[in-house]
Amino acid sequence: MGRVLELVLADARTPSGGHAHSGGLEAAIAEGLTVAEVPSFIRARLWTVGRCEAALAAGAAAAGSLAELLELDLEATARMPAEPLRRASRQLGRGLLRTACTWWPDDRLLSGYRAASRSTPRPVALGAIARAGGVSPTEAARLSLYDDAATVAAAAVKLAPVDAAVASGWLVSLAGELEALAAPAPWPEGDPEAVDPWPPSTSTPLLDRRALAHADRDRKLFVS
Amino acid sequence: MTCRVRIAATAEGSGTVLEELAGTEPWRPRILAGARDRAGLAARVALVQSRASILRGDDVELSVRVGEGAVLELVEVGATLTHDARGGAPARISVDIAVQGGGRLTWLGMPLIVARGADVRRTTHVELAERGHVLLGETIVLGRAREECGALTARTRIVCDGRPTVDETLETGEISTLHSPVVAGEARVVAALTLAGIRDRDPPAEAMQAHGPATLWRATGTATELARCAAPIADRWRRVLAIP
Amino acid sequence: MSADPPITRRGRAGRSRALRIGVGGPVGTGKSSLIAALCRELAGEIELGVVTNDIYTDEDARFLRSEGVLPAARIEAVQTGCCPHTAIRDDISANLDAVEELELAQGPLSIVFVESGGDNLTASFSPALADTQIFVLDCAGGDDVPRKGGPGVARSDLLVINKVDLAPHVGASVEVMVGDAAAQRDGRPVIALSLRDRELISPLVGWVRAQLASWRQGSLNSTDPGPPAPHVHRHGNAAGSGRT
Repeated sequence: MGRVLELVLADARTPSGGHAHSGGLEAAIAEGLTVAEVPSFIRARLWTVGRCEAALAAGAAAAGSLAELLELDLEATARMPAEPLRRASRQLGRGLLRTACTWWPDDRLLSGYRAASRSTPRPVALGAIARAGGVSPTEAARLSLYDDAATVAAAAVKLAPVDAAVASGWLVSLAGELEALAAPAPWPEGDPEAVDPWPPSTSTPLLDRRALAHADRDRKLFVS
Repeated sequence: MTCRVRIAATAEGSGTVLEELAGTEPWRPRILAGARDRAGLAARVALVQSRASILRGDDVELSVRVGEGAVLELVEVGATLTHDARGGAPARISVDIAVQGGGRLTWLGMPLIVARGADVRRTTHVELAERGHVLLGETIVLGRAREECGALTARTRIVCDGRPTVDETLETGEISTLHSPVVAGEARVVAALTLAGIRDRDPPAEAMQAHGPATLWRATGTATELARCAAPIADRWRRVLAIP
Repeated sequence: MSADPPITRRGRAGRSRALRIGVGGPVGTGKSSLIAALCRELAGEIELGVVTNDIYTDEDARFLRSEGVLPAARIEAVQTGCCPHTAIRDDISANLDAVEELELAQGPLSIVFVESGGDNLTASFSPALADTQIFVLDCAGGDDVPRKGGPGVARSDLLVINKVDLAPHVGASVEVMVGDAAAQRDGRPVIALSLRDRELISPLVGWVRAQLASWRQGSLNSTDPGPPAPHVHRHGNAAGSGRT
């Protein structure tokens, strides 16, 4: 079941509300990002927020208790200083949980998380769903990264004069890096006081600033 | 060479005294004349640089402890340049800050210039007890003039009352990511002001409210622009912090 | 304490919820005005809420709030990105979320209207989102539109032909529109009206009341307009079977 479930979770047709988001692409284009720059935008996202959310998704997929999931919620929100991005992440997480809870209504941890979490960040929700479906943490990380990249690529087709085949080609050419980013084990060996405690964090001042501006904008196609 | 710098401030009477003030390299902490604010007399300590550079292989531990009701300000006296002076291991700087209830720490740093060839790993870990507050400011210059930025990994993690509230890592090593529209774009300077343990209830438009008790300002641009934008926000948040 | 909006309690299983009436139809046919008129007529006696789907602006929500027919808190705007038809059929997550949150925050409500963002003739509500649906066309769109058909025209629970006062000015025949529509609707109701004429609105109001009554009794029968109807070509010879 696990392999097919991964496909269902990666499928944009599986309802989650994701079609209304652009991964910050609309805001970037509004400030002058060109079509030619979109692939490197996707790549930069993967190496910053993508990488960190992948770790959170992996952690959630490995979590065995509600307390662990809620702790990951705090780690996720501590990494999202921009309120519009937390709101978008929460919405996406809720959409995913709503759908997944119809698949496994008896999964107590999943429905428990859905009821208890105030922030349902997308990667944590995704990881919790992965666990419920027997999908591994590494796979959850890969799903999180793919969803991040595919959201931007799909939005690009609506926002810029791009052939959808070209847009999906971006994902194909990033496949190797995406694979590599999903690979690190979620839990570090050794010293918990290490310089780089898990989960990793990143810094994206421009993405955050544009998210604040985008939230206030009136004429826009995408929520985020 | 491992260097340890230790600063500990405690409340005494209507003021703050320094229980511990030790260290030689790269900072020599020195007491400055205190500042009286609404919280009483604050202790002010200058981090006097014994040398203006962070060198490869440096291993620095700075520990700052602010006791209950104590008020401490750390002041830097000059910019810090990271160097590619010697080969060897990356420079490590580990800053460990703990602020007890009612304690306040202000540390508005001077610019950190990440020169080409630099390799610096800095972590700043802040533990705030309930009602402990902190105001941190930093400016990172991404390379000297006409020069590519070196590799800095600067992580800041702030935990308020046991709950992770801010966790961010600026990494400058991968230039294409650093200068992408996701991180800093074309900018040469990144600046940050962080008020934590307490929120600014009426923040400036450019500031962000964290999920937990913190208000953050993050910006990219030129040094002049950022200094101009940061100044009124820093002043405002100093005043927020000064309210006991 | 968080700066983010609190999640409201989830309803207990088995709690009866509001009747959800979808209002769909092409852009500009008067969906918002229709909902405003219904709210004006019914808000005094029935607890109402509205979820608007805005594609590009939140103008529909603002229009409704400015009409003053409902407290602003009863009107929720959902941003559907550039896919208004997706948000009411293929992926209703955001809409369901908004409807449920509205009912929890403002409830108990008897009716929630969900206004679609205005789309083409094939767009229809998923039965998981709307318990019953109104499709709105207008005379200014041309009197050939009902003849073109589509799921909304043929199988919505109620078809409204709006702005009949404009018909003479645009050379449209209301009789033709109603006739063409009725021919496809298998007895389902068609109402021609102008929001300027209170008498013409009353059958619409009556229909809504009747739907609510059936809903409360558990006897509401509605059709999903979505699935394509059996397709029949009109031919001269008798070889084919089926209805004409």
